[in-house]
Amino acid sequence: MGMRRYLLPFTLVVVIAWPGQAIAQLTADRYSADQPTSVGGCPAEPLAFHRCALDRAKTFAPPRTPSGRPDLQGYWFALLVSEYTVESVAADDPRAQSGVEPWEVWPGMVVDPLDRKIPYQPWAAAIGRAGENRQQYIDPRTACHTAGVPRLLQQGDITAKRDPHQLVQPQGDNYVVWLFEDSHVYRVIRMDGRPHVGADITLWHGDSRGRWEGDTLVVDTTNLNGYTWLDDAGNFYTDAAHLVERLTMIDRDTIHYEVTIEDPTVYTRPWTMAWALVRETEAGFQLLEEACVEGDRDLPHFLEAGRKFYFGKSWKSRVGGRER
Amino acid sequence: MHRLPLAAAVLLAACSTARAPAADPQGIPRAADGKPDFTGTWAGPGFVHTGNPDTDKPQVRLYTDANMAPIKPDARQLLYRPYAKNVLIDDPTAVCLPNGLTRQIPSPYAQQWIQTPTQLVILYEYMHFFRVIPFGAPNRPHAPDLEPTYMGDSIAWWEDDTLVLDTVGLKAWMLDAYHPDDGGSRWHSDRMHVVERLRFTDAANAAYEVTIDDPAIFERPWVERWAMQRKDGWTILEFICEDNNRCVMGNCTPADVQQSASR
Repeated sequence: MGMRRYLLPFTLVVVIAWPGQAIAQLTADRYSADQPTSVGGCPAEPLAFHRCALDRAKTFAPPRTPSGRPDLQGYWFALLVSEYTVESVAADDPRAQSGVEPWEVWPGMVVDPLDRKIPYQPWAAAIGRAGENRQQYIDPRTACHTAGVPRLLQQGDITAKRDPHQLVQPQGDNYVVWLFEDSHVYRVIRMDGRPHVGADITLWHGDSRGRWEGDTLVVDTTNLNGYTWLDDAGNFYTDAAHLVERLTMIDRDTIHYEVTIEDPTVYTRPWTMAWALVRETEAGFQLLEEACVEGDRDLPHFLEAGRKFYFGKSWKSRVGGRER
Repeated sequence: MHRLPLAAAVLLAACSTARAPAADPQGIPRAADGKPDFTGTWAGPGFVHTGNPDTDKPQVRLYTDANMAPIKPDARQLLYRPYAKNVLIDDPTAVCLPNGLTRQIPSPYAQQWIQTPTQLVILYEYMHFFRVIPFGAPNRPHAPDLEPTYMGDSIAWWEDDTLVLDTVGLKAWMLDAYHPDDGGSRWHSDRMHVVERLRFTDAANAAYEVTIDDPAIFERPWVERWAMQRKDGWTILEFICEDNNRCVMGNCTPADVQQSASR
């Protein structure tokens, strides 16, 4: 049985015990302490890792399945991620100074554009980026909805390993199956070249089709319902989003993960995030069961405070959207 | 299927013995290690199997009263919980709590099985639950420090061509989807030990035998015999119970209903 820790959200403990200024300092320090100085032989900063890892991948010969595909199977957890926000947070950011819910000071998972911010259209920036979504709606995860793609990979305690996930490549190469401890959900990625399902179908995890480009697993996802967020800040995409994830092994225990998100409804151009997936090597490790609804006792407080269930209402009120 | 000339067939067989086992006389699919291969999409015991590759009739299947072992004195109230007007007792799936083992087995939704030499992965469409079950030695012990869970701790082994799934570590929860007309539900205890035994009966059908051993409730273990059928044309779909779960623990206020309706 995996010996993973289930810790209370650490920020809550800190809020009780420490005055404001100390909190911001502690949070920043803890983030640094949590991240190793290098990941897979590359610098432990998303952009530097991104550049270095793609270079390293050129000379690495990955292990292979019996059919000759790179063998990505096993248990993985994410590094170089933050669940607070995918964007950069500077030391003078008011949220990093917050006495209630201090954010990590960090460079962000966004590697393109280089300002490390999501290239929102102005109206959409006011909804994401700790705007209307975060202020008026219930985080879909809080309502026990799936974290969605790619937020499923980011979840976990900031002082411990992120929630693990498992990649399975069934014999025959018709599918890649991705199992997640977070939300206890799975993705079945078809590898057989079939086109996406019809445009009138929208799904929480979208419709994913995979292919190999050299030794890189490329997962193309459309048919998303736009009901999930990218992070705690309420950053988002809509049902027009098109995601391309790329998984490249750079050594036996490290995968370079990147995802490019295209959504002309809310962004000015496609943009890209990158981080590391690191192999869990503990003997006998297994995913544990998560039944979110079991511990779901906080919703009444959000509803009493006037928060609304999300279901993409913020962007649908501006641009419409396919109703089901 | 074209017949190969005998010489060519012999040659092919000779070349392929190193990688793949000889063809199974019954047409049972076999993995590279020679074991029956349960990989595929299945209509589980929650369907009336038609033999048609595309259609099966979904049917909520319950345990048969006549198959059950005698109930221990005073254990009847552990097995049968009267209608309580409490969703957590009457049917916790109404608020998207897991249906758990063994209720998951005959759920009337598709399931996808992936068999590797070391693990069996079962993806259930219903409630998006999955099991990752390690293969190993028969009758080996479970981990000693199990936390009770809805799906329990399952381990797998082979007894000749029979796949055995052995599960303990289950929290007390619903046994099946039993709902008599006057309400109520059927539960198991946290001492339940479940043994699933699966065996191909032909190329696309498997016998699915479930042994319920719950010493808190029953005098002895008892067996229910079900079946499942492979559906090569089926694809499991996305099932998100929480999509329509807008109230906390089923306690919908008028405002909740209004918000849900205005969506």
